[in-house]
Amino acid sequence: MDTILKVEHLKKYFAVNVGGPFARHKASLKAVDDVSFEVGRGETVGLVGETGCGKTTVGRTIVGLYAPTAGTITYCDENLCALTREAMRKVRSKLQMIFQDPYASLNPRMTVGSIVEEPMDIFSIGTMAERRERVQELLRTVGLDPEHTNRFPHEFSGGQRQRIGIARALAMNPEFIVADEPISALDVSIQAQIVNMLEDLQQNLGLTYLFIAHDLAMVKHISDRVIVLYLGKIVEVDESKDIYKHPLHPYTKALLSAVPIPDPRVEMQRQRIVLKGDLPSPVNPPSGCHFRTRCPIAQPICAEKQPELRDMGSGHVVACHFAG
Amino acid sequence: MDENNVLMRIQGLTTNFHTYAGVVHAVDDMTLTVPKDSVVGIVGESGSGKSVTMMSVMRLIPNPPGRIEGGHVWFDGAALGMPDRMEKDGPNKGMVDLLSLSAESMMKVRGRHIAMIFQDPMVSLNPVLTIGLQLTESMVVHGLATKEGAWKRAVDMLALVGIPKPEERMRDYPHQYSGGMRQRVMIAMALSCSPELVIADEPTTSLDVTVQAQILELMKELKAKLKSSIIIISHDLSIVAGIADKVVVMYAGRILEEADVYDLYEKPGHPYTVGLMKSVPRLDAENRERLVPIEGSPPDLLSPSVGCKFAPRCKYAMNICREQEPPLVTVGEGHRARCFLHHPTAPAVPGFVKVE
Ligand SMILES: Nc1ncnc2c1ncn2[C@@H]1O[C@H](COP(=O)(O)OP(=O)(O)OP(=O)(O)O)[C@@H](O)[C@H]1O
Ligand SMILES: Nc1ncnc2c1ncn2[C@@H]1O[C@H](COP(=O)(O)OP(=O)(O)O)[C@@H](O)[C@H]1O
Ligand code: SF4
Ligand code: SF4
Ligand SMILES: [Mg+2]
Ligand SMILES: [Mg+2]
Repeated sequence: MDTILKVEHLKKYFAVNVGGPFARHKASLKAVDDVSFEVGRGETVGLVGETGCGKTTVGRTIVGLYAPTAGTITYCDENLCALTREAMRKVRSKLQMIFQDPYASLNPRMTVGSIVEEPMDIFSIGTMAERRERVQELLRTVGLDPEHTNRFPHEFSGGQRQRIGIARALAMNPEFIVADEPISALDVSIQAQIVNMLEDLQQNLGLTYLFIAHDLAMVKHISDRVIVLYLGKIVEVDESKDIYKHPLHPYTKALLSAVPIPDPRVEMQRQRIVLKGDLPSPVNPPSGCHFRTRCPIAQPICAEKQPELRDMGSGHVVACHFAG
Repeated sequence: MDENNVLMRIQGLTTNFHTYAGVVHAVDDMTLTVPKDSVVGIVGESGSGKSVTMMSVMRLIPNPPGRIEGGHVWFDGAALGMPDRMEKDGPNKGMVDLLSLSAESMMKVRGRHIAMIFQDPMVSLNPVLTIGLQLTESMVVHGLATKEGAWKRAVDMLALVGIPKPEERMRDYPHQYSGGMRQRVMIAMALSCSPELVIADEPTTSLDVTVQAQILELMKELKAKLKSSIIIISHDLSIVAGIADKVVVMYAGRILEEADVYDLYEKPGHPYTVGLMKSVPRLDAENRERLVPIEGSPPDLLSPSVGCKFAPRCKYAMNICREQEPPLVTVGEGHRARCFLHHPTAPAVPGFVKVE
């Protein structure tokens, strides 16, 4: 595998107020806690887990929207965290992000043309005429009418807005795209349009994706490998087709078992692993294995010792004392 | 269907919103029958009129800008205990039209005979009142129990929906509950007066998949235990697959297809239903196949197209589809579809039966 991105021991902690806004003490919220993984060139890696487990934080840290608390991010053999400002700006332009909410992520007062053009302006790329030309080309690429550059975001539907966001992300000819739940806010009938387009763009432009999503069926569809996060830590990584057939971590098993299948014959027969309770607070995670408070097979050791990620062969890793 | 077995029959319901931009035809000539002791799933994308239909049934449409401009909502008169308002004969004999009730009588129906569970439980819970107070309120208001009796029943209801230590949790406020637990409280509240009908409007949309599974399992359990009929609304075909007896597909404020749950997934009779099924990947799929999207964009309810509302996106659209609205035709037992492909003279399309 030609590694394009390497994340090592990444930590991102946020200082938060506990006990309401008037409390005197700040606590540390470990949104991402010692996460390591690699992504190969041209690969699509899925990142899944329940709300608040740290998916977006991983994505935003990779594209430089957050500074890591600790750890390194190596992109094409360059340590992003050790670069000068100028060098960093250049490398960063190769890493772009597509956001979840196509309504909130576009500036309502800017025309579509200037939204898509903005990154090129910032980096002063080409002449004005060349940039205009490029905007038209980008809009065509994402299936929008190039005549519509003077319209505003509110004149477009959700699916079209997501296309605008994608055109903007493509403006700098990126190599690596973090797609943070790019389809969750869209209608079911529109989701497939966007997913197919992302697949085509990957083919044509040789893109690498980190694809963040709640919808495990969609993640399985689009990803080559899947990373499962729980409370800021990786609990399992495997190739998509294998993880769905042979999940090893109890959390992965429960996640998969929770996904409904659009077929009453399958669905009415299914035996579900229903997890007890809710996600604990990441400010105060359980000792030992973070998952132990909801784990159906937890043992006393799970409260004492944190399980390390173990290699189960052919790239399958899992963090559980009893998996395998 | 056995006529005595009907709990509610929505007939020709039409609800419009008169906005500055024009008239929004949110629900247009909607027809739906809910049998007693059954679970009906309503599937449709955002804006297809699912919520407006149910808010019309509950008579909760904000006016202005909204107005119910036609139709009837027939409800089992014996269950309502309104013998004087019942139809004396005809197809709706023994039923009461909720749309004809006074605002005062309607208050006696809401919560008592028809209860609703919303997508976002935080919106329907009062943040400054304890869960216990909110749970007991409607039982007391409807005169079903004394304060003490209601309290006891509320504790039982919380236990039923799986809240640990229910006695203690009665004194907590909504913010002390997690999202999944609040949705359980909403279910307990909806069930507290033993209503004949519970309407759950996207009850799991704002929840994580693991919590969604908990809530769906709970609803399945309750379905087996209780006598209420349930209408479960979702934008996701897979969510209703495991719980509904009958499924209705909505688009542009009307029904496009209605069938027994097994029939709908096995032999869908409308191009939109087929399209929805092909555009989502399945977790249990063996191979990675390219998705088949529904091209185009959702309908504009401000200026609805003439003819079939799905025609602009339908790959089978014929000339007639752009001129005339297809009627809902019966294509099998309890199976109806609104599509001209079922017409005897239409071109043959695999999977679409012809009916006279
Ligand atoms: N700027 C911030 N300040 C404080 N806490 C934050 C901040 N951003 C994220 N968090 C917290 O970090 C944790 C991880 O958040 P993150 O947004 O990465 O989750 P996620 O996995 O993307 O969730 P979702 O599925 O809801 O998008 C959460 O507990 C969140 O509340
Ligand atoms: N208060 C309102 N004013 C104007 N239009 C409304 C109002 N409520 C709903 N609508 C419109 O009615 C249509 C159907 O909405 P709704 O029933 O909420 O759809 P859904 O199927 O997503 O529940 C939509 O076009 C919506 O914008
Ligand atoms: S380490 Fe223990 S608690 Fe954690 S997942 Fe494995 S069995 Fe469950
Ligand atoms: S009536 Fe015509 S346009 Fe409408 S769904 Fe059927 S074939 Fe398509
Ligand atoms: Mg996120
Ligand atoms: Mg709705």
